[in-house]
Amino acid sequence: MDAARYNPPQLMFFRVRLFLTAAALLWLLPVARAATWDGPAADLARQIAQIAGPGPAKLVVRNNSSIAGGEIPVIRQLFERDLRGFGIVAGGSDSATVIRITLSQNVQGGLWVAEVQEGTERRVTMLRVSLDAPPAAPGGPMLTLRRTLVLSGPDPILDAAIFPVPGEQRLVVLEPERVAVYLRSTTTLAAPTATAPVWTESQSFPIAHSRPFPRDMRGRLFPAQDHLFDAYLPGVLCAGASTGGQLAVSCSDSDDAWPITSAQRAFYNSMRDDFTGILVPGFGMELAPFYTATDIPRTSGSAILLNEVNGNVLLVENAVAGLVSGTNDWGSDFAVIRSGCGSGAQVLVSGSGPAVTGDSLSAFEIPGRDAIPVSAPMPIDGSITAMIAAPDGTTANMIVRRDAPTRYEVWNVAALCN
Amino acid sequence: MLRRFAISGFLFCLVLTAGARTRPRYGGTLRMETTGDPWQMPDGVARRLVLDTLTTIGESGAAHPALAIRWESQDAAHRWEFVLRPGVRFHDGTPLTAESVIASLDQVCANGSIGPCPWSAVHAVGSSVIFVADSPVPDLPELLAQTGFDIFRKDSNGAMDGTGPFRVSGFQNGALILTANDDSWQGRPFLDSIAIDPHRAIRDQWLDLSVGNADMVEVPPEMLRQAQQQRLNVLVSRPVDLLALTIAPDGPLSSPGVRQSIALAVDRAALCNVIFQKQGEITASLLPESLSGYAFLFSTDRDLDRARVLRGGATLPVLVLAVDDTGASMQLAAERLVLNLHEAGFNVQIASSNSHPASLTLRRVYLQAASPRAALDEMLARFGQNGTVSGTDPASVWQSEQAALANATIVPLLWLPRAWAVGERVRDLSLSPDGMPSLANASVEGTQ
Amino acid sequence: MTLRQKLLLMFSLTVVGVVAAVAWTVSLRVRRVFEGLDREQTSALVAQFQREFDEQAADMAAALGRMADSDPLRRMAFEFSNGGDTAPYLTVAEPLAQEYRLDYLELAGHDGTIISSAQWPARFGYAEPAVADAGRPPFLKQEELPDGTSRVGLFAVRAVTGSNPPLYLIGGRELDAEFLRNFPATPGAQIYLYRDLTVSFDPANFAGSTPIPAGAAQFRQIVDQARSAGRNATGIVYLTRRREDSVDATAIPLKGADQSVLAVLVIANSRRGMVEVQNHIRAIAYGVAGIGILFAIAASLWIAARISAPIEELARAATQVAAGDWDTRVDIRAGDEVGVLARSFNHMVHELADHRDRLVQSERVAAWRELARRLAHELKNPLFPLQITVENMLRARKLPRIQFDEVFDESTATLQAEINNLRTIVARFSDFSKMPEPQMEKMDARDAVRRVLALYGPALDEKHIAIGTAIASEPLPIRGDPELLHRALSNIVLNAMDAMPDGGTLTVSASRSAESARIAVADSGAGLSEEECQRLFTPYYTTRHHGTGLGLAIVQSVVTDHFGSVTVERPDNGGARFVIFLPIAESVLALPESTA
Repeated sequence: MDAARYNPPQLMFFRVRLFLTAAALLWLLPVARAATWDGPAADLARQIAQIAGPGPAKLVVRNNSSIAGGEIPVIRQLFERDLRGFGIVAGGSDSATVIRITLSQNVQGGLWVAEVQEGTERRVTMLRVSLDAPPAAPGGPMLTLRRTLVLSGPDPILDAAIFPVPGEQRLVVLEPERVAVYLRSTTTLAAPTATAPVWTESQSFPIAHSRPFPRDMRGRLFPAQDHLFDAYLPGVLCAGASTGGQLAVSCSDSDDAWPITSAQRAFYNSMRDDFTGILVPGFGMELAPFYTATDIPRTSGSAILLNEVNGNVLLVENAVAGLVSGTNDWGSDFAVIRSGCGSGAQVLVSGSGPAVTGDSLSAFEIPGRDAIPVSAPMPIDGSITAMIAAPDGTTANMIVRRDAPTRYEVWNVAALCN
Repeated sequence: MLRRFAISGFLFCLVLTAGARTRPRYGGTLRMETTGDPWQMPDGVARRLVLDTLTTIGESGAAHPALAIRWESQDAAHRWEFVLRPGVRFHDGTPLTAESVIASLDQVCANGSIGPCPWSAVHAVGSSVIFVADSPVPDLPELLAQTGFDIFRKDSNGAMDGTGPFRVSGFQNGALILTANDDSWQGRPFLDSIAIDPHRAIRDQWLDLSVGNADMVEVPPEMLRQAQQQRLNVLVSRPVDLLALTIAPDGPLSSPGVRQSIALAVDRAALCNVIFQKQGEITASLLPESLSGYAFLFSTDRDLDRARVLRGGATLPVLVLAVDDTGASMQLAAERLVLNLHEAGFNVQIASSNSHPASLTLRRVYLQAASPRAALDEMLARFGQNGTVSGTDPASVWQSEQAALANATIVPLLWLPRAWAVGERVRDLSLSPDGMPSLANASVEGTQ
Repeated sequence: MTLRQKLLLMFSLTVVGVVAAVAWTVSLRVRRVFEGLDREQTSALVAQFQREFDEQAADMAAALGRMADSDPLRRMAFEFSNGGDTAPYLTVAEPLAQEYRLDYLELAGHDGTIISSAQWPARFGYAEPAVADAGRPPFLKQEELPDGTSRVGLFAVRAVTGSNPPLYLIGGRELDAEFLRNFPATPGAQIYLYRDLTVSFDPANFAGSTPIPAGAAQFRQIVDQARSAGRNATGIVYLTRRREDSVDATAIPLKGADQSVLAVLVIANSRRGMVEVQNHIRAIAYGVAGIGILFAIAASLWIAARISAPIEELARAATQVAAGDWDTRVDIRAGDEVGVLARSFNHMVHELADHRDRLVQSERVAAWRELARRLAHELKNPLFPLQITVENMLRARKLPRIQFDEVFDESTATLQAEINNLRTIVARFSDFSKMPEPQMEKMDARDAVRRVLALYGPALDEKHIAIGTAIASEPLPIRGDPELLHRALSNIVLNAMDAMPDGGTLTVSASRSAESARIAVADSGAGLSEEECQRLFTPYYTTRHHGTGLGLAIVQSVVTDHFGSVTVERPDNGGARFVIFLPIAESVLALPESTA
């Protein structure tokens, strides 16, 4: 089963070590950042030297960008150094030449603008600068929930899972229009605060479909018996197989029911974003359309937890469906993990909690018909678009969409016992 | 400025994510009210929902696939090939073909509603549309994302039929009814229909929102504060409307010095801080700072003494200032400009029905593009300036803009955002980079 | 003009003169009384306006005071004093102005910087110097407006209660039609405001609580007078040519704080009522006068008739007497002078009738004598040859037969001739006595003239008499007997021929003279004496040695039978001219030319 875990212990260990050594590295931060800005500063200084002759000049640096204010002195020092290399000595406040550098940015990234003012004459030069600094470390779990970034990218992600291929692990990412396969990169992380492992795309398979996909796109990856995995999408079924170390994916139109529990499947409405309510095999009862269904361990055995389109959360136990109370704030996506804490199983639910700038994630237990929160809400700086239990059932994958700029992230969420 | 940008971004993000905890539900009708015509160019809401373009603009300003799934340029951007998305149909079931795209674009170019088209010829090769231009058009993909290049076909009644997520189903009680297109290539929208009640006064819109008769209403920039005080759920776009004063170079203001004098006499700070309640971005640039990154290079300072010197003792007739917008804030801004110019020695009157032709015009110009180069090209076209941006680097864009503004026929004043107040039952509504609501992705609560 | 008309005229003029004098006096007096009342009413109106104006100013200041005391304004001032942003309050002035029914309202900071302006929202940030007048009584101020115009308003400045630094409220009401409408309406009185004094007088600058009259331009004089003098100006202004449209106007200059005239208020008290009353009184006076005059005329008629009737009867009787009615008498109804006159008239007529009878008798005797003489004379002439012839025949009986026969034949011939002559004489007298009744018919007088000339033309030529004719080209229709007229004209022509034995010129003319056809026959003979002219138409009178003297008598008889007249004239160049006037028969004017 270890092969199915796509948040390997090695990486986790690295993260812990990273946090423990973060404070020690703080003093090295300016040096690291200086290395980041060294190239752009040198380039802009060169451009400045082309429009300003050597000699003393008054240097003014101001920041109109998202660069942290603490980095400005470092950048200024870089400019002073680089300009000096071109014979321009920054200093004299009474100098006739004023070099005004504005660290600006636009929709395409950083833009450093240098204005060389000599009397009434002004010359301008600009330089594009990448501001793709590594994202800040996400807030760690506060109480019992902990999440780990697996993958991040600009394209929508429906599901992601690591499937073992002989000799290595492959991260299969299901997107609306393709299935992408990633290999773990051997390069080191660019910044000490980075938390995402580095996956490199190795293969991509377009998903052919004859009908338009619904606007709220959903998809699931399931391990298959006779091949590597099945990818279920609205009206489409893809099969992935490993052949000689290479993956092959074939897709075709299909209205097959999707697996929702170990024993049951449900028909998905390919024009919408929900299941029709028809299960195979059925319960002998009629169900309303629902978004999510999963089996949940119960003392009596197993039950199915359903999140209906109308907002009701149903627990179908022993062929009896009952409303679960305390689910008013539940979102439409949840996953059941067997953490071993508490009753042993928790429902990770999107949406509840006091978040104002994004969704939140909370863990609940349902001892009877009441959902009882067992964790503090974990704020998520984005929208949770999918919650899928990992194949081993102890953790769950969470797909988050972040905006401005739009990015999709795959997080692995685990519940830690207090 | 940075703070304002941050606030705008904050609001932008706030509404984007608020209420996104559950999946959108299909069905329901969203009731929307507007002050303008929902079909107007270039920012008619209904037009955006019914018609598609070959490309769309992403957050970074780059073109994204829409009706065209890919494209490539050849011959140094003199020739472009756009490959159409297969399987797309107009609302009446007619397949989208390269020929229908060309017919649509030919109509657009022929009626001149968006000015001259930047290509000299367009023809079909299979499912591809080939554009050939005499001069390079490096930003054609971004250009084709503009509303003016909507792809449509006209039915037997002359009505426009598109491929968008909604189709026009008629009018009901004065409201334009759009119904969901089940076969939309982007997937059926969540809403069953959208009712757009046009030409509603802002106060009436807000009243309707407060009593639940509307789900989405407009919020003028100058009323953003008020909306926030009333705790309305507000969506605020990035700056997309440029308030600018245009000066006719062929009338009494033919002297560049006098035009420069006018540019120096205007008090942008008063317009921004008071009339537009600090919701705008003071500018002397044709592009907002967040888009170009260099807008600060254009001075926005008022220099009344220099304005008087530049005006000199020229004997000028009473100048007429026209306003191309009937909104109260625009009228107020025009009156303020009259006062500003009066201080510099200009005698200006606001245009009335019987006044002389205007030599000054206060305009509110809408910007769709979201990349600096395409945006400058768009603005130059909107202001009727000839030429396009020559290079692709920021310095070239800046130099082109500097050249366009050098003769002071355009005096940019403020960049303003667009804002919408949204009812509680609306979910997942966001604004596209051009400031317009993405209603196709929105849904409403309380529907099955 | 008859005596009665003269009397009537005299009486009427006298009455009309008296009535007119009375009416003019009454009218003048009434007008003066009413004008005096009108001036008093106008003065009262002006005084009332001043009171109302002061009350309006107090109301406005009170409204501003309430606003200054209101909680929202105090909260606003508190917020500003704590460094609050003023921008959100940009548009607060307009609803406040509406709430407190002010036309103008500006909120200004302690330094006079405008925070919000209802009348010119774009003026925020500019200085308002009126804050220096904070606390003063309401004052007039010229307020500049965005459209480039300016209006006069009644302003007050108050600081928001408890504000420190002060937050000023500069509020006012425009002196416009709405402001004037607040003043209590006085029937017939209108208040107009002349506002724009920066340009020359233009009636369009008037504002009023009622529509500005079309003749507002007539206020120019008093408005200019009030403007220039800075004092009230009064006068009667005629808005149209009709007196009813005149007003008793007072122009009041409205001054600003610097005593400059900002506007002129015109109180116009309509004189329509007064003029109408005057007209009514005048109409009554004229009616009474008219009736009086008519009555006076009727009375004058009666009196004149009473006075003139006996005299008229006398005159009529005199006329009848003059026409030959000698039996005419007048009634003697009174013993006054007219009665004496009537009695004397009757006596005189009686005497005249007697005298005439006697005269007629003597004339008849004279006529018979003349007739006898004429007959004797006429008959004596043939008798003498008869006597000679008879005596010759008697003597011839003694002659031989042949000679006797010769003498006999000659004598018998002579006898027959003379007897025929006698017969002719007798026939003439017989014809005169047997003048036939005229057979009237429609005819053209020119035809009678042409017929005579045609008949006697050859004879006139023989006698070397030239003919001159002047016959009108237009028909001269008359009703007459063609034969009798021919006979009369023939007699005149024959007389003329006889008057010109040695030749001469006969001039005949036919023309229209007034309502008569004038036929004139003039000869160039020896002419007639005055006495001959008077007796010419007397029967049996002749100036010739032969003739019966009946020719012209027949002429006169024929003309008289045709209701015409005949006269004889003595032209200056000699000869005689007979002129006949015959009445034109209008009914036959349309005679066709062919019948003429």
